[in-house]
Amino acid sequence: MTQSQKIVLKLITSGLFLIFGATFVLTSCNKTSSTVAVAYVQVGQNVAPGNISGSIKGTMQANQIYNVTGDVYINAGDTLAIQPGAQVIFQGAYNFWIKGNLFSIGSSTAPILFTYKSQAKQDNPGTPIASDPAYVGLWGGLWADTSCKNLVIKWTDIRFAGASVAAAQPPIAGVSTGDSYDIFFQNGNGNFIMEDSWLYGATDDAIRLKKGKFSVMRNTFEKGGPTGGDEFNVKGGGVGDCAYNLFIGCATNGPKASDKGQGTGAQTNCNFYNNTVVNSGYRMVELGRGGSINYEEGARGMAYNNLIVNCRFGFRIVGATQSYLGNALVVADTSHMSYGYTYNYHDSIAGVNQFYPVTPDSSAIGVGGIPVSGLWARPQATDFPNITSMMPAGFYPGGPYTSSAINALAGKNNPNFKNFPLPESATPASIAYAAGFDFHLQAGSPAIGKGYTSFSPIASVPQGGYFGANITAPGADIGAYQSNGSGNAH
Amino acid sequence: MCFTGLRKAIYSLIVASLFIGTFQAIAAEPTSTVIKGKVIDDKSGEPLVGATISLSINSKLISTKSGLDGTYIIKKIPAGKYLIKIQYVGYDELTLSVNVKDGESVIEDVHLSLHANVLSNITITSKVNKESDEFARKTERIVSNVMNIISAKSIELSPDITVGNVLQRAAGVSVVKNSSGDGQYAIIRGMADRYNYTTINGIKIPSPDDKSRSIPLDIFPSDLLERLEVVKSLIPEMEGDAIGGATNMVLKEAPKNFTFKLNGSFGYNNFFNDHTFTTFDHSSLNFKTPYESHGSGYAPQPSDFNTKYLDYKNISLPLNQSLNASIGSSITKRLRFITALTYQHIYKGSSSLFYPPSGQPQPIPVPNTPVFAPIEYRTYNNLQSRMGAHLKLNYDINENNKISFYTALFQLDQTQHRNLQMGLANYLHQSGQAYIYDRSLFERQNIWNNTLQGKHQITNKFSADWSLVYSQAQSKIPIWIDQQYSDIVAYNRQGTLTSEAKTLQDFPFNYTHSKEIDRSVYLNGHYKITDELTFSAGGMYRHKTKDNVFESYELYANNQPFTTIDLASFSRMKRVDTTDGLTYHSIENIMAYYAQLKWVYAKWEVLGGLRIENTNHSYSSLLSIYLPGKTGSYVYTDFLPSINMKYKLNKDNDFRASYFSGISRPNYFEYVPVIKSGDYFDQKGNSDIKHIQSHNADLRYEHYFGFEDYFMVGTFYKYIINPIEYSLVPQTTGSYVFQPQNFGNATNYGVELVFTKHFRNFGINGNYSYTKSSITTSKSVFAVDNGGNYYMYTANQTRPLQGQSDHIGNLSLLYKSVKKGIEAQLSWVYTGARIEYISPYKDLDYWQRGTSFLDFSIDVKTTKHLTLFAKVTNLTNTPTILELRTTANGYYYGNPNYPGQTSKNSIIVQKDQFNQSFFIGFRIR
Repeated sequence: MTQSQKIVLKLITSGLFLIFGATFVLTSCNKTSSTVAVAYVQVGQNVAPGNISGSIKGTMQANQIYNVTGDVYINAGDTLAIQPGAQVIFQGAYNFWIKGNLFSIGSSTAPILFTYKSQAKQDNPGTPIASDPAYVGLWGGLWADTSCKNLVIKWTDIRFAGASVAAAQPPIAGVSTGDSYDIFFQNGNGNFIMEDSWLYGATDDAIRLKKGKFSVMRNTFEKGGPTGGDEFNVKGGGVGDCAYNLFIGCATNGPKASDKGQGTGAQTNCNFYNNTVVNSGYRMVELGRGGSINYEEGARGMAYNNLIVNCRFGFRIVGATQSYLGNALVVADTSHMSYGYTYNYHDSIAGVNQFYPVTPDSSAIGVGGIPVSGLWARPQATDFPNITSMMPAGFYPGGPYTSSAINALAGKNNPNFKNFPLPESATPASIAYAAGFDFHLQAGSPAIGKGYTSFSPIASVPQGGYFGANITAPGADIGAYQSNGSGNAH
Repeated sequence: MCFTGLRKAIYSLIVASLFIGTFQAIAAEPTSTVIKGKVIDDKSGEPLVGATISLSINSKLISTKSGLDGTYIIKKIPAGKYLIKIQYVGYDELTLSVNVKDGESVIEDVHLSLHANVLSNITITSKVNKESDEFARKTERIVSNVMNIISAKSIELSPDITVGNVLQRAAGVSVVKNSSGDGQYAIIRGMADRYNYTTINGIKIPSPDDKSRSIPLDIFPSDLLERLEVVKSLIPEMEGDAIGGATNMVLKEAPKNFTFKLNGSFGYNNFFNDHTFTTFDHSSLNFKTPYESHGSGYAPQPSDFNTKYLDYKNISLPLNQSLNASIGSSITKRLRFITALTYQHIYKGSSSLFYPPSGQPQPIPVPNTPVFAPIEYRTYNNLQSRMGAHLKLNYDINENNKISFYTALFQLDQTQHRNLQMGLANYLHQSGQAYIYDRSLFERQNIWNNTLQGKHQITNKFSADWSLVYSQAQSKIPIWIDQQYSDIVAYNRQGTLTSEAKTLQDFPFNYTHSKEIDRSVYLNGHYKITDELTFSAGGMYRHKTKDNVFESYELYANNQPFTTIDLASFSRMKRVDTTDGLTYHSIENIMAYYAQLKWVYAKWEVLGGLRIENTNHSYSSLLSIYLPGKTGSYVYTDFLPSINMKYKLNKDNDFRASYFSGISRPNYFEYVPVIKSGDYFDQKGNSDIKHIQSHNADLRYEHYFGFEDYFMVGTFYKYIINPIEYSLVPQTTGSYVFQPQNFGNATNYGVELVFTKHFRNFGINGNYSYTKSSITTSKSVFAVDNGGNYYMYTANQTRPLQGQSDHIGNLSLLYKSVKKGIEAQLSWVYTGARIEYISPYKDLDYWQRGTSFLDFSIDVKTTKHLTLFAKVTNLTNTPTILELRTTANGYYYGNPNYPGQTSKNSIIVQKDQFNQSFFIGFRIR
């Protein structure tokens, strides 16, 4: 190596060392900075009668009219209370975005009204879905954020909600453009209380409860979903009671419990008792899905004293992960289900054969070659009529139960509603509303005195007072309307 | 001379047998009276391919040509004295006297040397065809960093017609395929596409993709390439955002002499033997979305949506066509050009069996038991119209100052009809409910690159070059309709399954637009300090904008009975959705500088230095102002040192070592925290995401021998800081959000082996890579607690990086007869098992089974200017299979509703079948 080459070599080596050294120093002081837009907060303004929009708080006064002219926000920590007789009239497809608390507390004599401007109900038998305003979604909905601690709705009449959330609109977590529910709740530590209220019309699920403690009692639910959607769809993490409600004309189910998306919260645990479910399940095309009351996908709970009249399917629990004529079933938490005292009525032979839906797939074969139904709600000796007692020897619960004795049940065991003639004059699908009917039981109804009262509500929410729940214990009569005057007060 | 040759032959035989001894047996000839030998260049010692060797036997002229390794053989020669004449362009003609003895089977092994005569050594070098394998190998050897090159010649001979497919032939590279079975994204050394970048002539190109920065490589027809480079170690003058590597497409150069090339072919995919190709007419296409046409305040009506695109028609003979022409010449002494045009019209079909996951797994009977929706059988009818055009002008102002301009446009139109049959009725012929989905999709993607470049030799020691670049990439999907209806099927009295009630369901019309524009300036200066030492410094600035639009509209179908789409009527919209996290505007400014030294001394060559990259990224989205993250901006600076060292052990053996630091920037939309709500979890961007950094080291040993024969073995190690992976992140209220996250550190290491060996008319080349990566992320588990309650917890899972196969291999057998003008190649590609999709749930990732594809191609040169060729891909009709590696209580195995299960230890969830494709064509030059 010549002298000059040595010098060059030294130069290189030291140059490289320098570069690496500099890099090390520079990397250690390597700076990054980021600026991300923070959430915009408009200070909540005290609400006054007239036009409302933007962030509001305070009290909407009794018997005043409030025109909603834009999205309404209730900031986290703020409370908006609504007094009896107030009317909230939506002028467009706007929403309530509830990050704080909403208390809509009407009274039996002065209910609160949430509706769309100058829109009347169209309650005629057989109105085509496409021309019924109940299924359009004229205004948005009541959307509770994860920070909403209390969404309390009492004696409130909510109509024509369900517009899908428009672009750039969802200002809260858990909601995306295109979602459409009348009421949405998602705080696992929050309380959703809905009592003595009316919910009329929907475009998807009428109420979707993604998480939360709830008490849904003595309400009237009508016209839920045009071609799909449950009235009260409880997803993973919903815990509470749903009782004494009238569900009529649901696209799929009345109440439904599923543990989908449980997350770190509690397992879905729902008590569905003393509900009256009428004419439901007919707007759902999927085979095996949609009828009355349903538990699936990891949900648990108790279901007693429900009255199911002219629904596409009876009480359903998914008992195995398999297929129902090509549609997927995912098993409920069947080891923690208890049920019975269900009263079934249907006009038709086809209907009575679905009091206890079973999976008809030939391939649903269990251990030992015995057919196993993916649907698990077995006939109980406490049910009316008592299917088990009518079955020939060799009948096993969950197996097919079709027989001439069963077929003969069509139109039998009329529960004798005060004003809802059975059999119906048209198909059950044609009446999806309660106006003009009375679902109280006549004196001498076979459903009276047959209820089971030796179990307790979950009572997951605070009770009593102005803001707390008023929980009605299980009733002695089957269905939502008790002959002693308790239960559903509509 | 004879003895020297023999010695050399023996010597090379020993060397060769060290590596591929077994093949020597094949090359050994049975004993007979033959003359054989090798034609080599006197100075370089390299074999010469295609030299003519002739002699006359009884005044009959017999001739042959030397093979790929320079050897020739003439058989069955009667006894006697012969004069052998050896001719090769540019070399002296040589005549040799050989004596073949009577009655004896003597092998006369003759070694010949030829002297260059007319042409100097330098001109011989410049005559080297840059599209040849020979040039590719030389370049690989000369460059300072670790690189693999595929030449135009080997692309031409390969069965591949797109760059995406060519790439899988490179060592350590596997590809992710599109729905037609064509390679779309490269996985380099187990690093998925986000860790790699793509350049044209060294200039980075923008991406038409709506979600990622990746360039879909199926857009590029391979005919336009001069060569394809896979760069595996960075040097300071290269952009620093690669961790796996970079793919560089080098387009054809403007020649000094007139050249004209034309090739065309026809082809057929035998998927259509038992499937009818169906497609739809989109001649009157409006590329604008409803909002672009009417403004964002517009309330769309059902009449705004064209259901004619759901009218399917049959193509009775789906014949593939391709045409490629290039012409190049000098216009004046200083100005020359090349232009090329490629057009491909390809019908592709495939079928796929798929078990869609049904949300979250169940805690019973075992934790994380996967559940599925009913089986889906999908049939794809893809029509690809691929176009590439390119023009390059070179203007030499003088010897020292040269300017070039090139423009290249690539466009891929994809028309897809996907028929999806969901449920058991259609696939298993069970009565029940089926769902039929028909997708009509039309997507136009294009990439347009314009570069003006100058090279200036300013003084003897100082040179500089610069580039001005304007590029844009676009994707437009004006048609994306998923029509669906349900069908209740039952057996009739004749025992055939018949449709009883078809009900039309609500269905969506989607639109996406994506446009990315790059405006860049590059400047490099090189100063030769001594003959051994060169200092370079330079920089670049790029202003990139990206605009993405996603709109989705749903028609309300009102459960109407379905017969044909023409008879369907729609009274109103069901849903209007214009945010998906995919509607955003993004700006990225990158400023980079570097300094590098190159030092060549004796057996050493060292290239190293530092690159500094400053990134300034900002976005704005459609997110509500009431949520955090509607806009965001990020500024960061990276210091990226690298060093590449080469040590020439001797003439045939090199040793390399390198280190580089590389980064990978998050995809634009990953920052945008727009929520996509779901039943099981919500999806959301993450405005806190950090970019990925890495340290990478390489060692490689190279052995060159014979003509184009070589052997390389290398190893690499990568340490990846803050890799971005998706996972479920718990929220305060108990729910989970699925979002991109930085997950600590990951490692990735492996070994690569590449070899090529020729034996007269035969050649074998191959490569093999072993890669092992590891990353630990948190995942969800559904289980039952002691109290019998269902609960969900998170647990760590360690797994390979997405897309990393432990084993990747290529093996090609070549046959080349210069005399007969035949070249043939049988190619085998093996891609080992790898994770295709990451599941949010523990141990439920989707694994692609190891796949093995066999392709064949042949070229026959009929006249001096005309070559005929044929290509067959996927000879064995290998399916691509995805599976879950879970035992899941054995529930799915043997269950008639889950057909196709072969093991209790895994659940097959997808099986794709692509069938064979054939091409026959011609090449004129």
